[in-house]
Amino acid sequence: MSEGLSDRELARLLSGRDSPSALDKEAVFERVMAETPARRRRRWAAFAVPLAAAAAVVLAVLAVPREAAFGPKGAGLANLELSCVRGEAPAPCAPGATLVFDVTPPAERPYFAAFARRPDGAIVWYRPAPGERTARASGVLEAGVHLGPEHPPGRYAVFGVFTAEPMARAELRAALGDELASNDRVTVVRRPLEVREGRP
Amino acid sequence: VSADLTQDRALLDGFRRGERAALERVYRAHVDEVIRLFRHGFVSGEARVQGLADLDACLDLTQDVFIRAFSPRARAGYDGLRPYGPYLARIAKNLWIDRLRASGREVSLAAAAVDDGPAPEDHIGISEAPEPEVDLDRRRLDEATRAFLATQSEELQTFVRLRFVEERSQYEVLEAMKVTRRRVRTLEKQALSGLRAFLADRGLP
Repeated sequence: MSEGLSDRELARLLSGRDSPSALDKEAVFERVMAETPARRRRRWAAFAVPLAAAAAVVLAVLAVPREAAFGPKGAGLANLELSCVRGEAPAPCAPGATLVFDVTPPAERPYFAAFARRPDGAIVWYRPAPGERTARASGVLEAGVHLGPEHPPGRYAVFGVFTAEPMARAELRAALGDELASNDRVTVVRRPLEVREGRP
Repeated sequence: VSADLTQDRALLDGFRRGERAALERVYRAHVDEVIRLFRHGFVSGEARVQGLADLDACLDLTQDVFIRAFSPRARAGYDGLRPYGPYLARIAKNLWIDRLRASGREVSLAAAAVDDGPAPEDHIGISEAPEPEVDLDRRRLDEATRAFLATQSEELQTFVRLRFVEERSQYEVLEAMKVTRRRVRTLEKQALSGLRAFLADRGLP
């Protein structure tokens, strides 16, 4: 009997086609979304940069050739997205803003380090802090980086480095070598960053 | 539905973050391609995978394709440079081949390695399998549905055209008809329950 027809079957009749209806497709989408985890939402209020994190922004000038390139080998599914906020709102990346990391580690290399190469070739370490080792990281990191005087305006290259084991900066330097590229010990993701002129 | 991830940076960013609005746009833009692939089958090399006549089986596979395609790893793995449709079709084909193998059905080697390239345009190769035969019950139901619609108000007919024929979302329908969300829900209920009662009165199916 027709009482047995579901809304989805009736919708197929109303469409005039012997194919899935709008209701079918919407039902599928809802089931897909139920199985699809979103990345952790940004909670802008949580981005007050801890003093310790700000203090961890340490300049460490390394003998890094500026033309060093990052190859795709080993990049896998790692990803790094950068954005800037000021207070709780999105903002241009300029002195006084906070640089926010959105990290997607590859499954086999969950430990995360980050640094930037400034326009003058100097390296600015973000994490790990001096004397510490990298920690696991995923999603939007609670601790951003305050863009202070060590970040003069210009074009930067920000590097996210993923490793299978916790590493200190010296170990990371050794693993990265001069190439600063993905290899059998590290997965490297490179992102451009332009720090604009602005007042702190 | 336009959702070009290679051209729309904001959409790509939202997609990678797993934002519902972005995923819905991508889904709506591509769901018909995926369903069509499962209904008609596809060719890969010299092998051909037959399509499925069972709509619900197509929908189950379609659901699994999008669950796989929208996973954080797959979202991060899409480079945003190549068209998304072929990327999605590869996921669909590989999933289907995996299922066929798991069910014990033989899949030729030519169809078993749907790789990453190189030419997006030639990925589909959907075979021209004939449409499933329309049975007599379906014909009677279609005729009764047309008779039902002919008796309905212009407003309800417009709603049915927008919502079910053109497959617009409830929100798009309310914007097009300039009515409230509540009115759209009422019209949807009227269309479905009205058709159900109309068919029941005629002893259908």
